[in-house]
Amino acid sequence: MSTHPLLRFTPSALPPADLEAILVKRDPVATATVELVRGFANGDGPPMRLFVGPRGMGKTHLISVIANRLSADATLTGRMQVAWLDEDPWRIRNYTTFLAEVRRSLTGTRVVPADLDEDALENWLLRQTASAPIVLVAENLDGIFERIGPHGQHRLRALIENTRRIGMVATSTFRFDELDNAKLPFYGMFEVTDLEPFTLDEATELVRRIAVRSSDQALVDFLQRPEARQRLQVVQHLTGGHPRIWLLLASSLSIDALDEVLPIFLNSLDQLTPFYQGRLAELSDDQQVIVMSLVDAEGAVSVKDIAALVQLEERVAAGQVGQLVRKGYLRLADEPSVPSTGDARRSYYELREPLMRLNLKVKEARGAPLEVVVGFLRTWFGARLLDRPDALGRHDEAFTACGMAIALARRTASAYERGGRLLMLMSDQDRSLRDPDRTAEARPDLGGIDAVAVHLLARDVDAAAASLRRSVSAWGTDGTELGSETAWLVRDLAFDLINGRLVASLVSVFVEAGVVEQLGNAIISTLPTLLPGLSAERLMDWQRLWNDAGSGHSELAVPLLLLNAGIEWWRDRDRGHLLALPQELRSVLEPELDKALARAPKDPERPKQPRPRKQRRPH
Amino acid sequence: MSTLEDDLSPLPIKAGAPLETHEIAGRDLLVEQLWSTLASQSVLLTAQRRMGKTSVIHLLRESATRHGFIAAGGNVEQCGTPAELVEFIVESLRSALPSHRKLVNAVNGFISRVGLEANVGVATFKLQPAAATAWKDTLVEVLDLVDHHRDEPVVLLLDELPFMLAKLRDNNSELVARDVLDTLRSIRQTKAGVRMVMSGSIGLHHVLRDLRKSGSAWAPVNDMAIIDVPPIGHEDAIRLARRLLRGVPLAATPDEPTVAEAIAYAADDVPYYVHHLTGGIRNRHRKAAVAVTTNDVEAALMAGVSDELDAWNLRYQ
Repeated sequence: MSTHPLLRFTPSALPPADLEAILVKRDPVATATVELVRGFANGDGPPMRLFVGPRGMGKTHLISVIANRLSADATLTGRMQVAWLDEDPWRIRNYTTFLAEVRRSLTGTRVVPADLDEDALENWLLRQTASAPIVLVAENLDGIFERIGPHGQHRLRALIENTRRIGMVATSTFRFDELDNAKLPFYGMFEVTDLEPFTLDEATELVRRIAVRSSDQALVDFLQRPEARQRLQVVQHLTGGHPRIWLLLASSLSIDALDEVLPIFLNSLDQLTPFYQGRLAELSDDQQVIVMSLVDAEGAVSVKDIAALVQLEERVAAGQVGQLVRKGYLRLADEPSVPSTGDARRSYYELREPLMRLNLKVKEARGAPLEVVVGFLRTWFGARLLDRPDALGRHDEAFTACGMAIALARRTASAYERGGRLLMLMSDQDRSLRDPDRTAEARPDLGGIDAVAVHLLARDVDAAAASLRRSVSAWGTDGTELGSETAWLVRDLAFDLINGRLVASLVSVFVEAGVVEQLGNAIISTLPTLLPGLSAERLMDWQRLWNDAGSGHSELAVPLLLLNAGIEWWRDRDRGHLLALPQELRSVLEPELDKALARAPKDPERPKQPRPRKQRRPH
Repeated sequence: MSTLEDDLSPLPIKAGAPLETHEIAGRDLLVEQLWSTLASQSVLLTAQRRMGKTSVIHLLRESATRHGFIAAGGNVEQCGTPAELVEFIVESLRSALPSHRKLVNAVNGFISRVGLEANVGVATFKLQPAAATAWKDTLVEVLDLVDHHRDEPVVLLLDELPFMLAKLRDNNSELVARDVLDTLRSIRQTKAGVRMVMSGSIGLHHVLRDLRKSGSAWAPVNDMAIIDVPPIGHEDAIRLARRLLRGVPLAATPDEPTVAEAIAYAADDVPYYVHHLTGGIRNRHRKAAVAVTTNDVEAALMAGVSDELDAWNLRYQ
């Protein structure tokens, strides 16, 4: 167990062993870079490597690992010199002071004679290269280039090319102009690696390594369980795989906090807030306003709309947005993964990290948005991993494939498992619609969601809620069965019994039973079946009923947002409905829409196949 | 030209970085053509950026002795005055002189006479104020000195000349920049033993247009042969790709020639893009222990072309 505190903002001060212990994802690139430097020592040309990533993406960690490995490499002793400059270029004002910094890092002497001008310092550096080539290890290269200016850049490039004894391994928070402007000396000279965020597996590995480092065996064991992965998926969804955020969250992780998820974020707000505020403070006034306008908008916004929001000329706004993209604050929103219409020439931008928006938003709204979103995602991902191969999925596929024939057959055919169960319950005795109270009396054997449904039809909300509570405790805590059962109920309601009273009662029952978030989950998970299965009119009814019944319940705010966007997109395919959603919610909805499309009839002229109205059943 | 069966030793992927001669692929024919041209005429080397002009200049420097030349100069973009250009040429000439005792002594004597000091190293030699003012005479004098002692012609490699001219124009005046070009032309026309190779990241014609007075017919480089640096040969590009593939710890490339052919094709045989494409494949396979195929080439190409941040510098600027 390491006793050294985990420094999340200054990893360069961590012992090399600790840095190696928590190095996730970046080892191949670190190894490749060290190999390049070894090649340089053996007569290859100088390495010119640049790692680009927003703040907290692990640049300092990576470059510290590389510098440490080079220093510890016995095969390079006397054959390679490493000039590791300070992380922040505060001492560098121009090319002369840059060279002085290189000299200082190579000699360890803090004082550089004041009479040494750039010629003398270049000369000194050249003499140094006679004994062994030099690798400059520098962070914030964009800042260094800005400070040494075009004069320094030209001289530095000439020095590198004329001697071929000086290489560079550097980092930057963004791709700065000197890299991409063909009129400037360093254009295309660096091999640039964009440091990617962590995947869920990589983030989990980081959490595991930190738990091991802290000798928290219980957490290590818990991380191997499926529910831990479900919870981590929520964190991943909101952090966008940002390594420093993961490091912050992982450092104070406990099993209880991980199980609830929300405490992880709330506990870290105090640490995250200065981090994000610091990032905002680095921006110009116009850029800060643009970022905050996207925080408010939540979804992706076109440049034209951004310009209107912040009252800038569109041309000026476009320039600022471009810089924010390069600096890693914004990103071009992915086009919806489902085919959509709209002006394809218009580009939409959004904040790169959902958590930045939620963090800045939470300061205004006292925690509500973060809580709501985390709550929804926790339920959503909690049910996702296990419900794929179950009967609901198989039934839905069969339902779509066979269309109405199966819709009719399912009333009586047990071959399709429990599809249409609610109707079967009622039609068994052909009395449910006439007298649902008697159905409950007649079927005392009913349990689970069936009992809930029958009580619901009997308008006995209290009894339905009591049944639901009993079922929830019987089903266990992971929510998987509850999620599936709720989805069945919601889907049957939509097809057969849609009316405002039932929906409102259903919401009341789930609120009473304390599991209303499962209802929200079901509203979205049934979209792949309902969108192609209901007529346009019934979809509108469905949307209206849920909005009427669900408003006022914060747990349903996110599902209703997604329901509205999904149904509106289904109606006109306008990508604007999807792009207006926050990215972490858009990525939840799009796969469901994709499944809906796959289940829809393949007639391009009739993208929405209305489901024929059911025949009234004889009384 | 080498055949495919020749050296297929691994090479590191280094898109854009300065290369050593053994890392430079497929320029043998071009370099031979350049030496052939330089036998009678100076050369203006042209190409888009990242096509490999500087690598070609480096090969010229390294092969000069074999072709009976003394190579001096190099990247001159750091020179902000004509005197600094002369200082750089003199210093690089001293470093490049063959082991001819009389000549070395003569040049050292010259340096002692006109210089403030004679430190060892590149670009450290500084002219005395008078010699700096008379920079044209100083340059001619040192070239005469070499000519007097040796039969080998001198080839002045002036890489990134347009950057230097722009700097002269901005730091001094258009007149000074024009004066440097006129002086270099005069030397080419009056000294049979001096050749020049000029090149630059930005087109020389852009700078000349700025320096040329309206309506003037000033054409200070129209005595030079213009030689374009094209992509390398297709076979060379394939071989380069194979060597780069072997230089990275990929899981396996069972059909290396086919994958390399696909890389060369996708890169239009431009070495810079061969490096980038192979680097893209390497990035895709850092974790997955599966064989590399031509599908990876396609995927790496699409990733590079569609990269939001244009890591391959594909956008025209």
